[in-house]
Amino acid sequence: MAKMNDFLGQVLATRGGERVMDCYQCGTCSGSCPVFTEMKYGPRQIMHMIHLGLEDKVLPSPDIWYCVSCYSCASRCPRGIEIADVMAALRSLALQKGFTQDKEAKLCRAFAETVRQHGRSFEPELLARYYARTLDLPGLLRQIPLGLKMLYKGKLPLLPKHVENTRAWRKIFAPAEGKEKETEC
Amino acid sequence: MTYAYYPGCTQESGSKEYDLSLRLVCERLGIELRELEDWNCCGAVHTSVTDPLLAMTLPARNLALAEEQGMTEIVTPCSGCYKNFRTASKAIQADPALRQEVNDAIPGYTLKGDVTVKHPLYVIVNDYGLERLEVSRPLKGLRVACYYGCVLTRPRDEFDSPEKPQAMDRLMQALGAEPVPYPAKTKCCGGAVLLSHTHIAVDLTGKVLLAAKEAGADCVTLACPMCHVALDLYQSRVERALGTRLDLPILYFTQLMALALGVERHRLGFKRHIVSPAPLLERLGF
Repeated sequence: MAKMNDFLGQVLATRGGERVMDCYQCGTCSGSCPVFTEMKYGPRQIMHMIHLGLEDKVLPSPDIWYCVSCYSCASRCPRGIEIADVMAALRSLALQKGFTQDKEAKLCRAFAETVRQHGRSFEPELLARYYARTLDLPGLLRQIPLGLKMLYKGKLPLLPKHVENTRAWRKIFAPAEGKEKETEC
Repeated sequence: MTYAYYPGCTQESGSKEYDLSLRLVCERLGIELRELEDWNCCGAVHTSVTDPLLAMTLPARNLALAEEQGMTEIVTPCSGCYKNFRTASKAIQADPALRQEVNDAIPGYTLKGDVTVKHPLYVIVNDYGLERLEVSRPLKGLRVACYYGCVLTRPRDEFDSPEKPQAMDRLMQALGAEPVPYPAKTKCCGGAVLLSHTHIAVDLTGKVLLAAKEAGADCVTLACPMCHVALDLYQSRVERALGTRLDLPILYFTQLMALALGVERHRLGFKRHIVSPAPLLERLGF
């Protein structure tokens, strides 16, 4: 019982998750979700599982990583719950608790590391960090024709751009490093 | 009319043609865009997953820079950056404790929180006004599918309806083009999971492209670099998945606007597109 309440409490403490208890299970979110057919539960059931404190089902679920953050659910929710933000909060909690296997989880970390490094995104480094983490060789091979097209059209930068003072910049990221649990792979 | 301009990372690489055409349009209209000095990445949808506070601090540093540089309104052309900026800005304005937390986390900057965040589409349609546009080369005979995607109008943007947005359609009409009705204009392209769950993005993008094609559109116009990657760069993957040829050029609304305002075609980066718009532009006489 204590564990169930813990999980609900953790979600209630997130930005966007404050109002999960307002959900009355109408299902507008799942009906509006463009990736519902890919999901095992969909947003409505996930909201319910949060109420029930089913952390062990919610955090390992691939559903939270399939969410495309399109906010169809949030903009239609009759209770005004920021459901897409709840999904983002669940992804953060999943990372913190070591659920780092999903390819999107690895992309999030690769993206954050790249941005932390330069202050700007830099696609070649992002791709390198992402494929180094996923070791997704078939995916990488399929990416090559598109990469070549981008290169040919001048859409891939060759050198990164930086904020002026990268040392000061990286301090913004400092608290994040301690918070994350390094138990991946 | 002067705005701080936050280009966003892709405007210097993948979507340079959006940046070029936006700057040219604004120059024609007398809208001054002052690029923010020393701007940083807004974090997209990915960074804040590693630490939720980054969803506030990364946009906040840019907003603080805009304040420091004496600006009260900031314009950003990427729907993703636009969403991150306005979410952070509203949250920080509404909650003094959060503002303090954010200011503590971005040492060297103090955000007051009085910068208004705008997307250039709504600057042009609302602040400038369609009735003031001087269209020298109307886009006669162009059937265009206006694609809003997800976070340009969601969640709950005050400038347009998230269900039936109109601004791009009204703009295209004002330019002499014919916007076609089709059911996917607010559907998501799946850009957020383009790398990690490509099959989802290909499926969602396919639905948008197919709906536009079936409605008889000559091209799709849009206002987001990420949607452009999905609809233009990944169009060949979508065609393979659907087993049908689409050949739909994907143009930024600013490119079409610049053409109609008399900017020469060669200045607008059309050669950078993967699906070539050249046959369409020639047919239209550009």
